[in-house]
Amino acid sequence: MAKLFVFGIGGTGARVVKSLVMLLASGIKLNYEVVPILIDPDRAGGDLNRTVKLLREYQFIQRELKDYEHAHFFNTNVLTLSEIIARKGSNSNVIDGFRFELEGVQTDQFKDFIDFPNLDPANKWFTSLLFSEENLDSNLEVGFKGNPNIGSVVLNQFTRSEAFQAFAASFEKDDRIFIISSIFGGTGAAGFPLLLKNIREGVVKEQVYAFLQEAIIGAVTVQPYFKVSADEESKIDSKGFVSKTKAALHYYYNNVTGNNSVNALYYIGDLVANEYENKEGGGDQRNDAHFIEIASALAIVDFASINSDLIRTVEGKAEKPLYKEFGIKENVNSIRFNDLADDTAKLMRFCMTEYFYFNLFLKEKLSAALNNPYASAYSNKIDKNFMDQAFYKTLTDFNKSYRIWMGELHRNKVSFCPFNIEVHTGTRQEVTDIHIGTESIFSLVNGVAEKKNWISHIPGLDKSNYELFIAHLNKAAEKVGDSTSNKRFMGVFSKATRSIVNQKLF
Amino acid sequence: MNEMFAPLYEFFHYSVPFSDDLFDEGVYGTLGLYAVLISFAFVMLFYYVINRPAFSRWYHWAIILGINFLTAFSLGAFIPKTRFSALGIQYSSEYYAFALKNALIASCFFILLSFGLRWWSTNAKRTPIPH
Repeated sequence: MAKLFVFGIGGTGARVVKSLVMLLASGIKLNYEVVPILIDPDRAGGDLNRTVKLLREYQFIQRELKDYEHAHFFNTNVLTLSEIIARKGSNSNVIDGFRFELEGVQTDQFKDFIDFPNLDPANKWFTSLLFSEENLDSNLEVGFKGNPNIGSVVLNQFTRSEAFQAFAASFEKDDRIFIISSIFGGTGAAGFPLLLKNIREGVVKEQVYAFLQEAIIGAVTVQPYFKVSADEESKIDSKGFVSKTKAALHYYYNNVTGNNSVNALYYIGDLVANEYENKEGGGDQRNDAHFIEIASALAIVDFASINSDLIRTVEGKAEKPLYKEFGIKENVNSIRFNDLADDTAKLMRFCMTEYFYFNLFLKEKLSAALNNPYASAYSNKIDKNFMDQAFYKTLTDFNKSYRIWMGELHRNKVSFCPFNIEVHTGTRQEVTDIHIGTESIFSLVNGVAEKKNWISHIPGLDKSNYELFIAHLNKAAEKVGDSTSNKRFMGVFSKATRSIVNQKLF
Repeated sequence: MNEMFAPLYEFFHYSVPFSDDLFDEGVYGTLGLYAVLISFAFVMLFYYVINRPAFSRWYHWAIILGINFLTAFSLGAFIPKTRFSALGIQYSSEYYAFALKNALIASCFFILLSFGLRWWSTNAKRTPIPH
């Protein structure tokens, strides 16, 4: 299967990849193997680390389900670059674990990185014209703090790295590339055009990679969708976001879109209604998930579905580049499935709803419902022992992250609230979990009424809520048959949630 | 039919002349057939009509078994009494002893049919005890 290399640059890149992981877990399928590559100098970044953890969990779960036809959750293969290299049997020292370590940024100030103290006086003066003293003293460990002029210098080393060479060598004919970046910060704004330029050149360490030059490349460039609180101590000031965006767009006009470097470019942004705490970087930089990030992840899904003949590359130039924007039906503060455009709603509502109910059942009901046939009537049982195994524990962790993600989307501005949930928060106001305040579980999809037949109106006569869910699980178990516990578990829940969502909601 | 069920009814208890009268009037055949049909009907009701996760524990099954028992007991008392009264034959406590025997035989049918037919039930295939 062809591969889709997804470069997530900076904090926004990591957050969009997180949304992509959630969509893939829910059952959105790409006809590519996905190879996420996160580029961020901020090694301790909260968003980056959360995404890497999720990717590892996704991979662990997905491997257990490989080629299992009954499970549609976790259906897309996600690989690290080093796994691709190992699969090809190539020798390389690249160990990426989804993120690339940028050398020289861990402890250095920017002036040390460029060896400023040892420059001759003329070069020192010239450098001082390009970088302020504050720039030169800037510690690179937490990123570029909204300075693309620093980012473009530091990130240039990535394209000369062994990892980039390994990527170039592993890139094959039908593979594609997608680059996620924000346009209003430092890392993404600097990294995107730089990466694009180097891919199009297709030369790494004096070796030419023709497939890379002719690659089909997509990108999403995220325009401002949040601001940060004013903080005199911080070097990040969101007042500059719009002017930085304008400057970057002007640069892209000449160097990205103007020279047909990219085959499909997705623009996205929002009215800046929400304000995050001003954190320059590090573990504290954990912004709530935002709908813009889902929409950006959907750009990847859309890009993967475009026929190659429509976005061909000829001699390193996109023949007919596509430029796309994302929109919803009306400008609302709370987005439900019904507010999405028809194609988007069609893509998302089934898979997200099915995963929501899967997640809900595991959290609320599973341990008390192990004596039913779907769990106990087969040779590979779903029992307490199964729940103590690594597969279920990893799935539980992943599901908790999924619920937190949904809670963050729910409380953010603009709010993405397809489900009627209550958000639980911890002492630092971080989302810790979600809760539903009703036993009528099929009334939880906002704007969608539970489908009822005449029997449902007679109390006690028809199966409802969790009992109906269990009945669907029992029936699904018969269709799925016996397999390993892990596969059977996911197969049963995939089939049951699909049939119950069909029967009760859509 | 009468010959087929008579040994079952007379295996544990045989009393003259009540048992002979039951045989002569073909009551064994009628009640034996009813016991099988009723048990079958209750088994089908539990495993395939009700067939609910919330009504699939062993004590739910026991409730249906109890109803099966009472139905068979009622028929076991009512049918012989009606037939013999029409013929002018008088018995008293024998009816209830026989009704109890009929209810126990029907319960055996219910249990056997439960274990034979539960496999295709989606929600109660493990009731009353796991396999």
